[in-house]
Amino acid sequence: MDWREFESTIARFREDIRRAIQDARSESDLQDIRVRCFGRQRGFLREQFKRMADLPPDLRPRAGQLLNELKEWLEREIADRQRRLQETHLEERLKQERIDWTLPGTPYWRGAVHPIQQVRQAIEDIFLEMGYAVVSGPEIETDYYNFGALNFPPDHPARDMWDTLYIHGEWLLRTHTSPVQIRVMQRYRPPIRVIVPGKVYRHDEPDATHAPVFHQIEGLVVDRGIRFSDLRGTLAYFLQRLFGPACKMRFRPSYFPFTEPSAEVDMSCLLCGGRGCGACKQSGWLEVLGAGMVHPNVLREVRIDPEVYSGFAFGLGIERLAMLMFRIPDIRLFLQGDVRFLEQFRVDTWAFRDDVTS
Amino acid sequence: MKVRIGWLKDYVILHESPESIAHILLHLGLPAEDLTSWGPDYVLDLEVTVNRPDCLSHLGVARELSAWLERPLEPGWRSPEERTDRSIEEAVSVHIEAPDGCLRYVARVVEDVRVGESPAWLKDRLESVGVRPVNNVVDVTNYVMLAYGQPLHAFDLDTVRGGRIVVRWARPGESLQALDENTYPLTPETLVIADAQRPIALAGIIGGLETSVRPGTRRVLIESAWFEPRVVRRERRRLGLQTEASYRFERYTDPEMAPLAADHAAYLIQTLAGGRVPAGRLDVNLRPWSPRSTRLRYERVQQFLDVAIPPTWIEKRLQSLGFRVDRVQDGPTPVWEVAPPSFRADVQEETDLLEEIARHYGYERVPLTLPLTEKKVQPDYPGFHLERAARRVLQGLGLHETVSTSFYPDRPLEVFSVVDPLRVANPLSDQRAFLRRWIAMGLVEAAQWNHQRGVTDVRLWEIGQVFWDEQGLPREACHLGLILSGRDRPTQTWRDSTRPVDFFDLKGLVQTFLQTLGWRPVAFAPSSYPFLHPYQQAEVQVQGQRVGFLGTFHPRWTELYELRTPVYLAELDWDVLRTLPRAVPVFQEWSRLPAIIRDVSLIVPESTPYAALEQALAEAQVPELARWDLIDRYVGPQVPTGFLSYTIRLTFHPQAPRSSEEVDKRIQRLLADLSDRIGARLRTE
Repeated sequence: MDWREFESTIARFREDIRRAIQDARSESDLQDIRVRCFGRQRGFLREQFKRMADLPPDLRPRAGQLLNELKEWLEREIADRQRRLQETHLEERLKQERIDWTLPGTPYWRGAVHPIQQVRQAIEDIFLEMGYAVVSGPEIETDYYNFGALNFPPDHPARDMWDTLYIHGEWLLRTHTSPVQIRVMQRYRPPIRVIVPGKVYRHDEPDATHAPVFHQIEGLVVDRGIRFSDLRGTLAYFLQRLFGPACKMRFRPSYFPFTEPSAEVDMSCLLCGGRGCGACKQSGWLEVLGAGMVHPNVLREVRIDPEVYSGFAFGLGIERLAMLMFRIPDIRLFLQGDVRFLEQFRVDTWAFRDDVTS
Repeated sequence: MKVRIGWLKDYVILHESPESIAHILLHLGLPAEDLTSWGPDYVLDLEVTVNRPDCLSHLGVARELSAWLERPLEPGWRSPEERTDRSIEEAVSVHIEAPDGCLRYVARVVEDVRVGESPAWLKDRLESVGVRPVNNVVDVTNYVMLAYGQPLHAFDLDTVRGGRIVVRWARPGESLQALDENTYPLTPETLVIADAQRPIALAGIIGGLETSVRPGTRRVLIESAWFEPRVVRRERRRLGLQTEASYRFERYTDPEMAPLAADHAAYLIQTLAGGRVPAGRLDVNLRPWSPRSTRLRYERVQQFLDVAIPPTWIEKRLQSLGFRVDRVQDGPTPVWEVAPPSFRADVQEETDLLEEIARHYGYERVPLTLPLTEKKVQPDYPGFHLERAARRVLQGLGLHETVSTSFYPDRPLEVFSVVDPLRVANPLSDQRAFLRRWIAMGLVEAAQWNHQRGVTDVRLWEIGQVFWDEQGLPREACHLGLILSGRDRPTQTWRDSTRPVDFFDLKGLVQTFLQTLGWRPVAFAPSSYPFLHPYQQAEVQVQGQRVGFLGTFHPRWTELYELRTPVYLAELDWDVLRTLPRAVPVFQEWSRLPAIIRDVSLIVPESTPYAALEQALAEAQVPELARWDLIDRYVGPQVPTGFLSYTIRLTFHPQAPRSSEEVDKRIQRLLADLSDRIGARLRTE
């Protein structure tokens, strides 16, 4: 066998295989080609290496080189083809897996936190940051805690400000969260810094703005040297933390038996920003808090010396705030348990606001 | 309290606009609910707090304005022209027999009056502040009350028997027909004005019809008295009769005003209805008023309000409000003795003076400061943070939080078989007089409300107080309730259909909730709550302690409440639950070898509860068996009658490489064990 023949055999084979690879349509086609080239028994390369012995010895290295080059080329071509085939298959599979991604996603139940609780929590968080504790007390109280200890003289018209639901004897449903002030001061000595969220009861005929059952948050601070200005500053800070730095506050004199001086606290109207609208009766202000300095008689009642200590207290109605925040038109909606109402509060933006600072 | 601006100008010079007057009053603690025009004039409807009865008059409001505006106050008192030939003692005598109820009684008499219509200016003034004119005598008494705050009453003296006025407690059996033509039965706690024989007025509340001034009345007795506020309040509450007079008396009237008002009224009657006034007035004054002074320290003003107000300003302002101010210690921080005027019973101690100063200085001028705080001092209430966590978990589990009323009608009491209900003595409506015993009462009502409106997917929870009676004492505790009804997912989708929720959805929910908050172990025990389906309920136990129930609402009541689907209820005693220890996660190494999973189907007698199988599995203590799950429960043709099949998926976490044979051997041993314990055998197809 001469060199020329050897070379042309390889060239022919190379051409044949090139076409075969090109025509290969599957992994099994490629496998056949692999057998043809590299098969242990009758593989082309095997046979050609065997035939090298028939060549003159000086040509054998060249032949070996030629065959090695062929081998590398074959391996490369087959691998390439294989990759391309795999790619094509994947593409076909993916095509078959095409979905209409515009179809709706799987629905999950989403629960809502009651708006009263959302507002309550937002308020609690502000005071928790300031080192207040959240405390609670019973809903059934005695006359003493609800009125007597809070400097309500017996049988005084001030009691008419709080229409009471009675159980029997001395027992009644608390008309405000203020009895907890007394319970806290009986239990702890100053410094005292607490807020008291809770359900309260009034003998009020229900209508769009009145409910016999509603929620309040009360605050109480007692320490040495607590000033009226501290009350003002605390509430101004609170309102701005809750409603943003644009919120303005207005203090005006009022009366509560358990505070002196007493104040009604207005904030600039949430809806119109103070220009005047239906919600604020064109005044630009909304009454949101009752507040004042703890009356010395209240301190004396719990054996705290008003010459040494002073304090402030404040209270607000949660429903009223929630109605303003969420534009809820009727207070009765809160207690109906209507799913169509509750599910509107699945997004609780007020409870987790971190964009409001002052 | 309606206040006419033109009327205020009788007592103080005002050239401010009605709006600025309203603004000043607002900042003095007298907000106007309304400002309306009355002809060329304006009327303010002021909200007067109960501590300021002195502002229930035009003079009182004018005093606030005069102090604020630093203009003089002109009360304009007048006295009648008196006869020299006849004294009042000849006409009437006054006796106070009830000093607990009346400390001062002033009487004036006007004779030969001509009762008739009041002049236009008087009628106009009364009408502008919402008082109906009657006749010139009655109108004068109302006018003086509105001007000076002292309620007056005019009697027809000729009908007052014996010319005697006696202030006394009513006697048993007495009654009085009042001006409103109602007849009121009197009790020994009723303070009355009587003549020689009978009651002629309810003291401080309303006069009697028979002795009233009417056309033809010739002799008028004017009563100007001071009644004990509590006595008037008690009686008007008993009678359910609120009048302009009782409103003022129960809040406290100025005892020093009584003679001035009587004189002024006599003067006006004389002017408008003619008549002659016998000399003098009767003034029975059992405890003449004397000022009680209070110490006021400038240092305190400065410290408490955090403002530096000039001491002279304080003196001047308090004086213009009627206080007597004596400086008892001079220097940069003076001390005063301050005596409030007779019309300011609300001012009793230094702090009340601080309010007066702050009020007139302006609340809005007090700076904004924050108390110095170091750290949190008191603890939050027990369970506070747990409650917040529960809220998050239940929200995540897709339940809406609800809040319900605490008041319920009789029916839920019957439905929930409440034996120890707590009743409200004066409920808003007899329909809802009882306090809730279970949170579930409200949840069932919520389900009813929603079902009636076509919403049957009800997934709610509530935390709150429940109440009961314990041997005559009211008790309360905090409970947490859950309710499920409707479908297992929010909507049918294009891939999956829905199924109705059932007992096991609720059971899984309760278990997940409890476990997520760290309570372990959670177990269930038989129960017999009468409001639940007798065969679909269980008691919930945590760490062996009973914490609540879960079950299907009794079908009988489901029907009664007109619920459209079955309703599943659970309720947990939060006060008990929150005290139980909760497990903190402790990291556990897992097996590095792959888990080995085998499914086995077991046939057991039909009466075998799954719990028995679970218990047997636990007690068998198969090494490396990490968990088991019930993946099928089957009763049917392939299982003999009287038996059922449970398919259990066993998951082994091997500590060392195991051959299939080793695992099979363990399962064989387990099967033998289960066969011994509960008679289970392997199901072969």
